[in-house]
Parts: sequence; structure tokens; C-alpha cells
Amino acid sequence: MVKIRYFIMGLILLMGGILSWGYLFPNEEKRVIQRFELLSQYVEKKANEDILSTANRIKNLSQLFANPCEFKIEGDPFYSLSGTYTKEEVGSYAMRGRSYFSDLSLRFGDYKVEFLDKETARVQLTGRLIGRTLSGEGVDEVRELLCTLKKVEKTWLFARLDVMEILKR
Amino acid sequence: MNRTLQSFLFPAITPRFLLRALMVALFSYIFFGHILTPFMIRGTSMEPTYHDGGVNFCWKLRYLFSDPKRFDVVAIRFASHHRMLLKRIVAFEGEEVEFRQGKLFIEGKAIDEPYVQYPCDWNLSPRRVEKGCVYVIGDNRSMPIEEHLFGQARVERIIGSPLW
Repeated sequence: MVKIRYFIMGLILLMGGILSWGYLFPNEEKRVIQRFELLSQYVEKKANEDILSTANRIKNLSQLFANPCEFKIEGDPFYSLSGTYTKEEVGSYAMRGRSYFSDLSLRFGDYKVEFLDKETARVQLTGRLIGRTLSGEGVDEVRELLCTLKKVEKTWLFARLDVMEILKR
Repeated sequence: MNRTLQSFLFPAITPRFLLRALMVALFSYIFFGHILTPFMIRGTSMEPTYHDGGVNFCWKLRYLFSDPKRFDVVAIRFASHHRMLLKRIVAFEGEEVEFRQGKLFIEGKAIDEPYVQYPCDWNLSPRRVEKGCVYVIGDNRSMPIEEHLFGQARVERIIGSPLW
């Protein structure tokens, strides 16, 4: 009985150690995914957000993008953006986009990360935008996305974002 | 409470019971997660064949040994593995699709579509279906053409068909 107890405790410690190692020393795939988590965090908007918080979020959000960054968001009923933009322009577009909503959240999932070379990662993922517009209309949109990230000075930055067109007329 | 009922409702947690529970959970995960996936229909694009709020199952082995056929209703992977589009195949690669006054034309021939019950006035200039694609449309074409999600989808995005 005592041996089983020691075995279970050892197993828990081992699992804790593995999880801590993964958290403290993330691999490149984890680092790439963390950029999406940060993007999600900065896009999020609460109903009572103050102007300082907005400015801080937009500033941080624009730092996640390469200079320039390419977008292809077409045929979307809520937001359309195609072309090449500087990170400052991305920030201002994001600010404008957020201003349509009283509350907003952007969640990512189903990551498929592929490294084209040491400094380029291509990620296929799902993005879910949930929110409420200023006019009170609920929004719950899911899209498949294809993102390219470039490693610039040891930091992964968004270099291209495409919303996948599933049905082409 | 008799002994049989009691042992059924409150079984003894034995290794044999745990193994059986694990097997049931594993089977359910594989069967309902990857073979016959339950889904709820949201939207009216397949009315009157499929109704908004209806529940069905996606039979994912449907096209394991056969290819999709014309007028099959298929589930197309939209985003993640949980969001699908339910549409009907009307044309295959290389074929020309066109709408004239609400009537569907494939390769210049008018197609009889008994599943379309509501009036339609769509006009769509002729376009050819690209290689590796199928042309899919919903059965409900009573809305303006701009509001209906239809077009050509990659064949590999077809994940199955509704069970009924």
C-alpha cells in the first residue's frame, strides 16, 4: 500500500515536472501558438473598457505584426480587409473594428503549425469571433484561417493572414 | 430495491467494471466523434429538406468506397471539425453552371430540381467548376442570391452525408 502511494506521488511529481518544463521552456510551436493567445487577449473587449486600456491594447496588438503585414479577409459580412499594411495601420484598423462592438472576444483553436524554414511558420487554425455590436446585435462567426508568421529578432510576428474561402462562386 | 437493480444502478468499482467503462467511453468517442457525428442544423438554406434546429448525424464513411453523386446532400467542412455546411451537389469539375430566372442550367441544359420548393429568381452568369471541386447549393433559394452561401468546394472538404 505504501509502495503504491509513493508510486502515485512520484507520477504526480513527474507530470508536474513535465508540465512546468513545457511552460517555462516552450518549444517553437508553443511560442507560435502563444502569439495567437496574445492576439486573442489584445482583441478582447469588455463592455466597460476605458480609453487607456483601449490604447494599451491597440499598442500591444500592433507590436504582434510584422512591418508590413499582408491581409486577405474578403467576402466577410462584418469586416473586409485586403492588402499590405504597416503595423500602425493594422493597429488603427483593429481600433476601428473593435469600435463597432460593445463587447468582443476572439478565440483560436485547432492549430496546425508547419515550419517552412527556421524563421517562417505557417499555421492553419480556426478563429471564432463572439461579441455584441453597439446596436445590440449578437455576433458568433467561425472562420478557418491561414497565417504566416516570421521570426524577427527572436520574436514571431504575424506576416500574413488569410481567411480561407470555402465556397467560391 | 432488489439486488439486481441495485447492482445495475450502483455497480461495485472493480477493475473489470473500470475496464468495461473505459471500453464504452473509447468506443463512443471513436464512433460518435469520427464515424457518425451528431450535429444540429442552424439556418434555413436547406429548407424544406432540412429544417432549422433539426438534429441529424453525419455519416463519415459514406464516401469511403464511392464518390459523391449529383444531387447528394453532403456535409462540407467549414471551420474546425465542428462547423459544417449542409449543401446539395449539383455539378462536378469541368461542368458549366448557370442560373437563368431562377432555373439551374448545367452545361446549358435546364435541370429539374424537385427538392426546390420555394420560388427563386436568381441569375448567375455561366462559370466552370474547377479541377478537384464540386458545385454545391442549398435547396432554399427564396432569398436574394447574395445572401445564400453557395459555390464550388474542394472535394476533400466533403466529410460525409446526413444519415437521413
